[in-house]
Amino acid sequence: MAEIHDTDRSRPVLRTTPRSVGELLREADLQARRMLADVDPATAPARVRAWGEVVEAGAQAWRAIPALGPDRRGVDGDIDTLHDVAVGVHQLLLSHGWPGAGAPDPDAELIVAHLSAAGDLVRARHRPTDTIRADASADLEAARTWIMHSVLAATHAVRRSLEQYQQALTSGRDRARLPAPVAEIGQVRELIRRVDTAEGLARGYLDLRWPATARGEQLQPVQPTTLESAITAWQSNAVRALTASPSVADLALVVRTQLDGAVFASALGGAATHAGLLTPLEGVRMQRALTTFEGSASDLLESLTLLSGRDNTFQARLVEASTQLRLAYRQIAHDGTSLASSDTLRQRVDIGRALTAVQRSLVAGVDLAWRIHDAARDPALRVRAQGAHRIAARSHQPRPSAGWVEAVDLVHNRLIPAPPPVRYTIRGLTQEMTDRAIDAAAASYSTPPRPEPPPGDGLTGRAHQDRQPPSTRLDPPGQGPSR
Amino acid sequence: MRTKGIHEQAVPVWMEVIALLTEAADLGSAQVGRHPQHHSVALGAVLVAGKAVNLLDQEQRARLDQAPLAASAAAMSVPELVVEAERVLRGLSFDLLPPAASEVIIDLGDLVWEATHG
Repeated sequence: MAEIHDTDRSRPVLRTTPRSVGELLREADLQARRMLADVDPATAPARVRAWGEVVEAGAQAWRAIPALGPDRRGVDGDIDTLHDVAVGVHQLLLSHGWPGAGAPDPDAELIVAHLSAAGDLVRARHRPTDTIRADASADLEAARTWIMHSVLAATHAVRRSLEQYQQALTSGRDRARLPAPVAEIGQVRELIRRVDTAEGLARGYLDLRWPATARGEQLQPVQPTTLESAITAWQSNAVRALTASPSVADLALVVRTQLDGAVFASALGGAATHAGLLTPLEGVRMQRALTTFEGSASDLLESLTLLSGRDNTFQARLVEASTQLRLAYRQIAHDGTSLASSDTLRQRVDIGRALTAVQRSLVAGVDLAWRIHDAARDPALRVRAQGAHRIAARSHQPRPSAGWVEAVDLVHNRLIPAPPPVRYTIRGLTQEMTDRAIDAAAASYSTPPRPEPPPGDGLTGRAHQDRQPPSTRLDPPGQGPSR
Repeated sequence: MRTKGIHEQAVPVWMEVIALLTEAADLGSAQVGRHPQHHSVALGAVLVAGKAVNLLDQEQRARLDQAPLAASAAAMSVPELVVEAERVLRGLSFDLLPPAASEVIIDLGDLVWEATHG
């Protein structure tokens, strides 16, 4: 039997070759937890390099596991969204040129090996068309839960390494110890936020399942609701559209649909507060964050609509998914020509479940916001000359003598590459919307309950001031990676 | 006999419909804080407008931003703009529109119902 060791420690990682899918998945999970025990800024480049492969291997193993029915959309939606985030991070690494080529993290490589072996084993034994016994559903769900937990633990470890790296960049002494090439602090900050999105998605999935399903306990099968299916379809189609050379009109449609989601989330947040699922304070925090997000999305839309003009043609997949999601939102949140009351919402849907779907869509919305930010920076993006001229005219940048837009293009309102002041404006607006999307996602989760203060220990004004401010990280309640 | 594309006589009206729907969409997002109940119809308006734009050729699409909009449109709400778009479209003869225009007409009718009845 092969014995594999870590690169710099004599700690045995794998004493015997695991034979079953269950053993392989547990080994992957154990390896991911070991990453958590060894967080060092110097490991960040190798870890961030390998992280996408961990998610990729997890997604492939996940998709190899059979579903009970022919429709896999409800089964694969979570891992597909997470995989999309990892692909976005990979594209970001390529565009930043950091950390560049090099050796991946050996711990992460082992996780990839275990997950890939598990996927191969399942594929060798089950054809996609095989009929699965209904009583096997607990085993299938357990396998998916272990995969997601491994991905979560590895993702958490990558984020912590990146945070250490970011901290080291601010210290002259620690910075000198970092392996070359050294990243810019802005690059690292952006990576942390994106990896954080992936962590939020994985946590959201495990909230309802870990550790019960990992132990093989049978939970009631959950059929996706119309809302959940529409949200999943929207996220995956929006990601694909945003990676397929989107037009300005496509970008605007994604922002509009996200804005519609914010209106829905706001209505649902109110109903969740009335139902006691959020405290009044949390309800207000969520509403405020959503209102601010709406403002930033509206500002961005104002510029995007100038740049596309009325020439709005969209990718077919975006139209279909946006239409379905809009109708799903209407069915729940509209009553005649008004928004439905909280009581009506509670009669129509399971508010707890709908809130979970909204929370996850807000977290995934952060990834969409990043993608819009990236797509808007694409030099190949073409905009209508008249809209570009109007935005450029507001710019404080010194204007070239011939203007930012050529007269002939302006007269015929041609599609042109975005001039520098337009790119600068859009970059600022998309960054702002991304920041507000992060705030909205974080604010949609209730904070964990504080322990009851001992009797007679009334808070003084001073004690109140000493309290920690609430976290703004995407930290939903429930299970973090087990240590 | 139905035409393959939008008949040249119908293009100005078709463009006006697109302009009204686009106006509804932009107003809906600009006023999302004050009238959140209108945003869904505004999103619906831009989806219908997109289908309508698809029936124009490249040269016509480049002229869309020059299509005039009645001054009264500036005072309209999102539902009113959608209703107005449908009223303008109703004045067109079906003989001037290609078969693919049916989807736009049906979708716009549904949107008007949403805007006025929910």
